[in-house]
Amino acid sequence: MKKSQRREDMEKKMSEDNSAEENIDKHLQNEENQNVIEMSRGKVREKLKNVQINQGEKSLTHLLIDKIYQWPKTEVSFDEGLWFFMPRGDEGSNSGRCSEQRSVNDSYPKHFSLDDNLQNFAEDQGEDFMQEVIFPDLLEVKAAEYEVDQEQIRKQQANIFVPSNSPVANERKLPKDMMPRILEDEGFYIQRKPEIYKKTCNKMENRLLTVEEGKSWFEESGEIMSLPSPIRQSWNFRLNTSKGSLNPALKTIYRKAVKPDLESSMRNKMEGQREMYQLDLNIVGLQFSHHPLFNQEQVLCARLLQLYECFQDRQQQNLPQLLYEKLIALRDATKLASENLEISQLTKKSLQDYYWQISNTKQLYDLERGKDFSLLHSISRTWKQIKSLRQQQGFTSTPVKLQFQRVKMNKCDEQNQEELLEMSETQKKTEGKAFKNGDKWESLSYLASELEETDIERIRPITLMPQLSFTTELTNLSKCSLVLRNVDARGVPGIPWLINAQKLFEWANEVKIDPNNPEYSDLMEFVMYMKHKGQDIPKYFRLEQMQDEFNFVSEEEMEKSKRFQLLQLRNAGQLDVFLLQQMPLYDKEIPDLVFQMKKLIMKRIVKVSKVNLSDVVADYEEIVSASQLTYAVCKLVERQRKLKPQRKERRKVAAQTICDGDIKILVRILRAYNIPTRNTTVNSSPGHDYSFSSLSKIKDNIYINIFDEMIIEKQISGTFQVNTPPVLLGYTWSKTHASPREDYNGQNFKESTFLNIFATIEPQISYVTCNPELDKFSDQTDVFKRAQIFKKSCQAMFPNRRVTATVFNGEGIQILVTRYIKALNPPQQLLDIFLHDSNATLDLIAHFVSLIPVVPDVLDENDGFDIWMTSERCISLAIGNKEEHAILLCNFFLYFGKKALVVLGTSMLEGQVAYVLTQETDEYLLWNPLTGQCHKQFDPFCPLQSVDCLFDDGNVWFNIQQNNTPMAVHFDYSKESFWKQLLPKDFQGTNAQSIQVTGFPIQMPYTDVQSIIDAVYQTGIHSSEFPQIEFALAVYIHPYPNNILSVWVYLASLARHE
Amino acid sequence: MAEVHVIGQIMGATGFSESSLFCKWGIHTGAAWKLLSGIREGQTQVDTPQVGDMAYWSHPIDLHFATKGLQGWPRLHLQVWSQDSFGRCQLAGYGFCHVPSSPGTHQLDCPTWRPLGSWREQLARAFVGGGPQLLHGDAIYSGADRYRLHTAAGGTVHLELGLLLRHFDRYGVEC
Repeated sequence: MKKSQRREDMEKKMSEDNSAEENIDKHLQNEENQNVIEMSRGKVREKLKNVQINQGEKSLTHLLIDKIYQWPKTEVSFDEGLWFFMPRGDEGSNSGRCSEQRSVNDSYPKHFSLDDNLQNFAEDQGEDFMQEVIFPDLLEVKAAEYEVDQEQIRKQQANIFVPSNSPVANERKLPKDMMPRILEDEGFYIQRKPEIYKKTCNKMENRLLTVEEGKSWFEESGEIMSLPSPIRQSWNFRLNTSKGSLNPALKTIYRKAVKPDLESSMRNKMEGQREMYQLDLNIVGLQFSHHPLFNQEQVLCARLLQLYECFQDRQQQNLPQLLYEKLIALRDATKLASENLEISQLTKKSLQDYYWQISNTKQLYDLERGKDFSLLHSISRTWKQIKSLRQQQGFTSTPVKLQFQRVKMNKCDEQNQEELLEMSETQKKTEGKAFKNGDKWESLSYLASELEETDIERIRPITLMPQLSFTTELTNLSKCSLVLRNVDARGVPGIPWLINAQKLFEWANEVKIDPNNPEYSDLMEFVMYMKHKGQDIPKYFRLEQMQDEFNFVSEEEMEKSKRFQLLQLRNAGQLDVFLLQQMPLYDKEIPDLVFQMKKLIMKRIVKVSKVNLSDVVADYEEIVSASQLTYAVCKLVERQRKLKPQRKERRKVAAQTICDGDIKILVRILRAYNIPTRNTTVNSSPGHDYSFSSLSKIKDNIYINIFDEMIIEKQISGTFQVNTPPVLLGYTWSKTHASPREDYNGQNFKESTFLNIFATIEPQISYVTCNPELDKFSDQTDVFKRAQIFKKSCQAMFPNRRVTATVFNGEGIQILVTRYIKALNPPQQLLDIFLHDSNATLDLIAHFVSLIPVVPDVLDENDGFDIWMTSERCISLAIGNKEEHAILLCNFFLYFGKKALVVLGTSMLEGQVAYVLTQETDEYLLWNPLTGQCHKQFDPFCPLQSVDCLFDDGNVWFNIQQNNTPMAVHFDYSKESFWKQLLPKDFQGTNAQSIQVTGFPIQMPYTDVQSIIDAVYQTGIHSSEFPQIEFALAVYIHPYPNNILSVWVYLASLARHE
Repeated sequence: MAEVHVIGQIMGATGFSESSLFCKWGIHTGAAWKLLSGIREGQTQVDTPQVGDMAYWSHPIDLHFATKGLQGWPRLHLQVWSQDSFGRCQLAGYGFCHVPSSPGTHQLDCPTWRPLGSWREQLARAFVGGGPQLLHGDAIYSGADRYRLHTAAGGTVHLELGLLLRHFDRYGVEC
């Protein structure tokens, strides 16, 4: 390239010379005329281009031309001389340099061969020039000092040692008379060493051999000592599974620079990383519990193993023992309590609690024992099966052997057992005494009977202990069938390790396996573990070691911390009430109430997902069968026919042990009233089949709804009204049946059908009643204190009766129930329908209230905390619970000037209910707000079963009459001997504060805004004189076709009453 | 049940060759720790310094922990990213420092590093951006064997953290 460029230069120059010759005159004449110069330059360039294009083809001619220009110096010098002095800018200066050289060249003529290139030409010129210029007498020219290569090598070899790269014989590397020992051949595991070139290695060996002590660098095998990995002190004996050079945690990945998607921001990735965990599992072996190739014996063996494991687990838990100890503790406590039976309320109550607990624990105890026994039984049965099978088939393929050992029981234990028996008897006695004291002990009567029952079927403690071992000799393989040989589960290596660790350990010690072989690394680990087992190696795996040892407090304590809980709730934004408040610094400053309330509200709002019982508990079969068994036995014992059959108290089963499909509802229709008979005169369409009995038709109308809350009811027995369609075509009621009661009842009884039904659940489920712990209120006002005392004393008297004095409102503030009661005007539409019939209006309103959907209480009704919404809220949300319905209905009734109260009680249909009681001139009416039905007090078909508590806007009354069925109750709540009242008559501040809401909707066609405003003003709602009145306003415009609008204005005024 | 408040800010970063920087941060704690309030991780804005070479983020950190042990003291891990003129983001450095264990205000300087990658990756990074990143971000704060990782130094992130400790003296930890 250089060459050709040079040539180009030359050519350029040459052509320029030519052009210079042509244009020389012009230039001389018009030195200032730049245009011309430019033009000529352009021409020059054109020419130059042409030359360049032809350059490739004309290489030879170029050379010739070169020569021509070098040779005839005179010509050139002339030309150059002219050209040199021409002012031509940069081009000129360039070529000027060349021409200078050339001029020098000219003065020292030299021969050029044809193939001489220009570069050489120039250099030679320079050299010659120097030699000529520098004075020869100052310098002496000498040839460079040079030694012949061989000479040099020879000299170097004297000083430099170059080890040969030929292989070295083993004899030289090893001590005399020693054969190289190659460990790998002897079966040791040798890890692969780093790769080294053989020649390099040989060189190294040769070098080492020349050094003193050099032999110490060689191993027994004759190789240089080396570590498998040069950066580790020792190599780990686990197989290096990850061939990748990098720790996977440190793996990097090249990511392109990308624009972040703003929606899915990078933060997501960081979060994702935090969530990523890895759990490494080392599966040593597999033991099949079942396999299609198992033979019968193996299947049985697997089952036996399972049962045995289950038994051992239970043995470890030892629930019966725990329960037994609990029983003893309870017994002692009961003894203590019954000794000082100076009937104070408190001891009585605790005693009662003890009895209840004893019976409960006893039940559990028996249950656990029963389970143990059935397990033992099935173990022995399976073992017998295995034995008979082995005999039958003539060989044994499993090494299982089961032995039963008789365990001697401690005398002390036996004594205790007897004492326990005694104890239950004494208990019965005391109960008998207590029973006389009044009907408050009635709940205990069934307890006593139950205890009797359990005593009879007392189970003796387990004295047999099964022992499983794998000592049976297997039949020799050759004697077995072919199939068996393939599938010998115990023959799989690895499994025996788990079965007898101690033997394995001994074996490993005897055999002396290579500890370095990664094949045995698991085994070695195990052996190491066994060695250290006596020491302090924990049996469990922990992610963060020594964490527990250094913990300040336990996890539970931390979870319990109320302050932390509150802080977290606040952080999660769930603590709306307390959001702006300062968190108390200490736990003791935080009332428990906050959490309970919080929990309640959350429960109320969030629907609790229901868990199937079978998800929780698995083994329930024995229980069912046990109860059935006792039932069968009882049946045998009882007399064949009784004139008056009695309902028996059945065994109870804990609700937790029951799963889907286990519970049967037994319904027995005892008798029916007023069944309509098919009217044969009515001829109907021929398509219908009337061959069915009339009863089967009616059956369609019976709906029995049972909810989980109904567990409270042990059994349902009573008379139900059958919901029949208002018009039942084709059926008539026979008048003869209805007449005796018709006048007595007074209602439209004729059209009602009643069924007397006994329904219960099989198996009987024991339900848990809990005594709510009454908490101390943080800000105890006088009223709340009073309410709490009231509630406590009421419950002490009648634990089964409901009493509610305070509830939480929607904001979570505890208030008296009386605050909910305030006259409320019903919707105007309802009032307009029956303007003159007040009774019909009341029915209509009751019907209206019953149409509001009911939310079931998801809460445990016994925990003593209720949340009630105000009536306004109830009606605006169009949803409410039973109590809210009753309050709403009561408030509507109050509007009509009726004396209305809310009744809390229990109904055989709905469980805990709230009814509305209205006082008529001579009688009391009970309204069911959920159905809108009205019952007289002495109505035998009223579903209300108990009347426990009454309240209105001024007071709360608790029923302290002996009998609390509605028919027997005296509703005159002014009598203090019948009704215990919360607030004394002259109590101040009961009407502490209430909000009176008045308001109404206005409906009008839309004409203009002014007319609507006028209409609102005309109501005069704004002209209230209360000082702190608040107003509420809502407007709704309903569009109709053709721009016709219907305007609804809702107005309300809220006045705070002091 | 000792408590720790970590209150402060990520001031900014210096010494990065890239100009438009932002920072992703997070606080990692052991199992004994429980976050009572505050946000555990976040990301700052992209700061392009106009004067000087320090990128200021002034990103607030406000956390409240409860702990039942000293193990797993909170560790702050940082990722500094740079945004180029096309709006593309690439990693500029990983950093880690423990939250100080004494109460008071602390000025922290957290040096950063980034994986170097193979020469191809380095070349690609120099010309087209992007770069090698850790597959698992927890290597930033965990003591995994890092010896085979080749890294290049990034700049320094400056933090100012204030600490309030409570009830440590109850468990014999003086501070």
